[in-house]
Parts: sequence; structure tokens; C-alpha cells
Amino acid sequence: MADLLGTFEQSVLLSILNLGEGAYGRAILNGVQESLQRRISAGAVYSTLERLEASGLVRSRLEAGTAVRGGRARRYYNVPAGGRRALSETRRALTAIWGNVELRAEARP
Amino acid sequence: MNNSKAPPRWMESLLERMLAAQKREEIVGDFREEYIESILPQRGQLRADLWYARHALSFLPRAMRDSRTMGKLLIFISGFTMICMFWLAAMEMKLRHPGFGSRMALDICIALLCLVTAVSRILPSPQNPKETWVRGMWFLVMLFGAMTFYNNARAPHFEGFVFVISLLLIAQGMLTVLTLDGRKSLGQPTK
Repeated sequence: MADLLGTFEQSVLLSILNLGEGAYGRAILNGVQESLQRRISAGAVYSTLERLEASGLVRSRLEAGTAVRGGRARRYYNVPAGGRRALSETRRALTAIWGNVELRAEARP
Repeated sequence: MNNSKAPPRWMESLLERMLAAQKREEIVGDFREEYIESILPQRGQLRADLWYARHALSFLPRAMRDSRTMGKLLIFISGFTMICMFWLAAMEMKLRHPGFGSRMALDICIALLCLVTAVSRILPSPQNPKETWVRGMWFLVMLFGAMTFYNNARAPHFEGFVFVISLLLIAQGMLTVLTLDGRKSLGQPTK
């Protein structure tokens, strides 16, 4: 079995998928923070995007910047077929690992 | 655009310096946009500046790891420490004080570790599977350097040479850990 995606990588990929056409750095960072319910450093998200892109699990394109950005370009991300496949496999593997196990909170004495 | 609403120029410059050229423009742009449109109106100047500084500094470990200057400094310090340790080993053998054998063996071990570190930095191997081992070994060396520093500081006869060596070992350990490739493997789809 291929290596599975980590929680953070899954969260970044899913955030891109949720954002659709509007998936760029800042929006992805906010999406990941929302899904993981904690503060995330920007450095972690951008490094992960870079690694995912180098592995072919994410693709990006540059678009012209706006005045508020000081004219700086904006990079939009999308998840190609390879990235979607990796997500599906991770999900399938996790489901198989968990099987029908259900964790119940232990009754307190 | 009102420039008084923009992030402090020096913070932007600092962030720019920490980023690779090909990613600089878009990341700095994202930060500026977030700062102006969202953070500043919600949190005010001081907290917005702190927000900017916190996120900018999150790129520091990566910048240090990728920095060529750090790599060169590590090679230089490794080479210097190696010479010092071989010198210490030679002195131990010449003077033959009680327990010189074990000290000499330790000196040679550290010298060889320095040699391996310097060579691995000169001839980098991106797929090197032993990076974790190097990290672990250098953690131990750093610990050894710190203990030597502490013991030397408390000793009745302060040894300047030992002081320098202990500092070098700590610095070398930190540089090794910082310049190691911290990338984790990514899941690849099965063909």
C-alpha cells in the first residue's frame, strides 16, 4: 500500500477542493484553520502546498494581482486527478483500518 | 491605496528575505491583503502587526534550513571542531594522563562525526535515509557540549579551550538540526 496522506495534507487538499476556483494561499489557510479548529501558521500551509505541488498532488496557476496586494500576483491552486486519487485511497485505507470499531466513552464511577 | 494601512515596511522586507524568489511575490501579497482587509480592521494596529510578525516568523525555520550560508557555516565549524578534536586526541596520547584512553576514543568519535557532517553537507544526498540518525547523533553531541560547558564553568580550573569546543559543539549541533531536510514523505497515488 502506498503511504497515506497525513491529516494536515488531507486538510489542505480538502480545503482546496471546497474552495473550488477561489483556492489561493490565504483562503486555504483560513479553510484549514476552520477544519482543524486551531490556529495554523502560514508557513506550515505554504510549505505543505509546495510539497504537494512538487509531488504532483496539487497544481497552481498565477493570476494578476490587485491594488490591495500592491500589484503582487496571486497563485490559485487546484487538485488534479492524482491528488483526488491520493485522498480517496487515504480515506479508503482509514475506513478499512477502523472497520466497525466504535469507541464509547467509558462510564465514570 | 492608503499606505498607512499597509503592514510595516520592515516586516514585509523581512518576510521577503525569508522566502524563495519564486514564491515571494504571491505570499507577501497574500499577507498584505489579509492584513489590510481583515486583520487590521478587526484587531487594530498593534495586534495586526503582531499577527503579521507571528506568521512571517513561521517561515524562519524553513528559511534557515534552505539557507546556503548556514550550510557553509556548518561545514566551516565542523572542519574546525574536527581539527580541535584530533588535536585533543593527539595531546591525550602524548601526555597519557590517567584515563586518557577513553577520552581519546571520545575525541576521535566526535572528530569522525564532524567529518561525516562536513562531507554530507559538501556532497548533499537529497534522498539520504540516514537524516534521522544524524539528527539523533547531533542531539547527543549537543547534550555532550552543554554538559561539558556546565562542568567546565563549575570546575576550579577554567579551561578556555574546552569552553570554545563546548560552544562549537552546541553551535554545530543546532546548525545540523536546522539545516537537515525536514520534509516528510508524501502519499503517492498507487498507479
